[in-house]
Amino acid sequence: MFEKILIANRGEIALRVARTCRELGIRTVGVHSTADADADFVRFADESVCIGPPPPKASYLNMAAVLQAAAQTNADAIHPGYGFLSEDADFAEACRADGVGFIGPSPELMKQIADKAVARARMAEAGLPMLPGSVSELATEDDVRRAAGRTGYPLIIKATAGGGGRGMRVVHEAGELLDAYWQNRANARRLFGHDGVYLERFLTGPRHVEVQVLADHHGNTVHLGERDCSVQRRHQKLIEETPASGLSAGLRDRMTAAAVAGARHIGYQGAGTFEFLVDDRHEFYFMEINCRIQVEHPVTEAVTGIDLIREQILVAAGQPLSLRQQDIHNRGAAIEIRVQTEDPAHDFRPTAGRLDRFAVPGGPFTRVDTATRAGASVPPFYDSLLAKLIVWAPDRAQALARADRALSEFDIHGENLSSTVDFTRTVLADPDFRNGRHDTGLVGRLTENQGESDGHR
Amino acid sequence: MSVDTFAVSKASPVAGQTTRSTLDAVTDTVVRIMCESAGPLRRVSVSYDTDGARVEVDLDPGPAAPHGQPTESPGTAPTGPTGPTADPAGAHQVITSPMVGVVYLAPEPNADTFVAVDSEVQAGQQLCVVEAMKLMNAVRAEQAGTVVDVLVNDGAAVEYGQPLFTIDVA
Repeated sequence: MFEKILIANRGEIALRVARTCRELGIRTVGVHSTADADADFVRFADESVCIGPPPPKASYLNMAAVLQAAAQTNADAIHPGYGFLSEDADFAEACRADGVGFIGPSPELMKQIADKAVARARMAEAGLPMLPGSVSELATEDDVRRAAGRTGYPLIIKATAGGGGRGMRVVHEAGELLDAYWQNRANARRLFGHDGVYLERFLTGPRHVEVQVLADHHGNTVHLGERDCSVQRRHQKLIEETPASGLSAGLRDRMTAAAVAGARHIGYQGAGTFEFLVDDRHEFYFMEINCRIQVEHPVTEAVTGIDLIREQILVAAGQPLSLRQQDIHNRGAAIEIRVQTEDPAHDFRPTAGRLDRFAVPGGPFTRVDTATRAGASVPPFYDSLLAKLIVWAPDRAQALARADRALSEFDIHGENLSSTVDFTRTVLADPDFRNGRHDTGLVGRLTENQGESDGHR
Repeated sequence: MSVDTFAVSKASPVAGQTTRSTLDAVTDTVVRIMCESAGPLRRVSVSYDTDGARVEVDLDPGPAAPHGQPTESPGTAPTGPTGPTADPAGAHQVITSPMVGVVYLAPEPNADTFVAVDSEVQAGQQLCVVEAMKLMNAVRAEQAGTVVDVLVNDGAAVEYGQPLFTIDVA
């Protein structure tokens, strides 16, 4: 078992990981930039090392500094959290070369998963349903025209190295196809350093549903149910829930079975998420695999009672999973609302500054994951996630009422700061959302309505 | 970020064998790329298979964050090393560590230290070494002055921005 884990991240997830480490009796090292020197996640850690100035490239993405910090604190493993270095196969490889554990899959597996064309091909082999499209990278204009002939329009061109909603472009008619292809390759090259692209049929108004899996190094793979992440702004998730509302039991069983089959096929290890799109006819299609802990993992923890970070650490330490599929029972409904320091009236523009007031909700079955407090500053350099509210209730209606009650208890104020709290209460009150009939277009429709009624747009 | 792939000289690889000439060719290629690139390199990746050796270079992407989660706000200029901080009196400069690493006050074990309290130093003169990931990085005086205080012990582990020396520059 590990004795000391270095947490190569910041904010709420760094604190979240450190808390489980403490429960496991594992010492923690918090690394941080100069902008985070006084942050709560740094204070909570048993030791801390400042690894660089505020820009992520110079600190949280600085592999040499992170590895050097691990070496001089004698950490025996690194937990990368999400974002930053968490999906960087080169970093995982550098950890291995340096003799420090990486809490995540092997670099070889991460490389396969990071290349979306390879991931699609491997999942097609495993029998997962795919949207019609190209299986491999589109090298020539002929390839593009042939693939488009199979999918029809609208279609979407995506970067094989992309992710997180970046590097995608929807094409509505044949006349736009080749321009979009070349533009997307240029964009992909600029954003991801690799200009490979593929295309697939574009679903209008799909649901985004993902399945959590856990797998050890001894051939055991289980799933922990699904999460619906259809409430998104700018292709970034805002509200997540489990179970996914309005999905038939049969569809849920087929999706979880597909995720487990996919994980087994590639020999997945650790905690992973299989993302799917679900169309209005309740057909589902494989989208991508995330080989890290997800921001929204607490909703799964709430309905299963399983600490996913603990399982991730135990698996990375080589222990067999203590859970069998028949031991996992999802109970009730859980919902997570992300509180972002963004301005919903201005296309969710990030804001930064000092938090004059910051009070979080409490009460029954109410969890708040955050690493900030009143008087602290929200630095402008990083993601604008301020806090996550997670509530549980025996059914979805009670969970929605509880989430709204808890949101009303947030007191967030700072001169230059906006938050998404009120906007997410509007989402919770939306009739489509309440009835589970919403799709990924919901936030766009609500912000347009709000703009019209406020006279802003 | 942009990536450029360079095929290493055609003649080099013998299938399944890494020869001295292959290594030399790879080294030469990397050095050539480093010399010719306009900006800093983000990562250099060398791979080798039966088709030959390949060197892939990520050029520094500038302001675009390459990863999904963190966002850098526009207009945030990257800050360099912390550099010296002036104390309120104005006469003292604190030299801080430019990186996480281990400090060596002397060029080799048992040798004289680079500087000591009361040493007169010139601008650019080496004060110590910070070793990080097996690379030795020289830390130098920014301005001429007198060493007032040595704030770390030889072999100490330091973090980014940690004070190392106080120098009287008056």
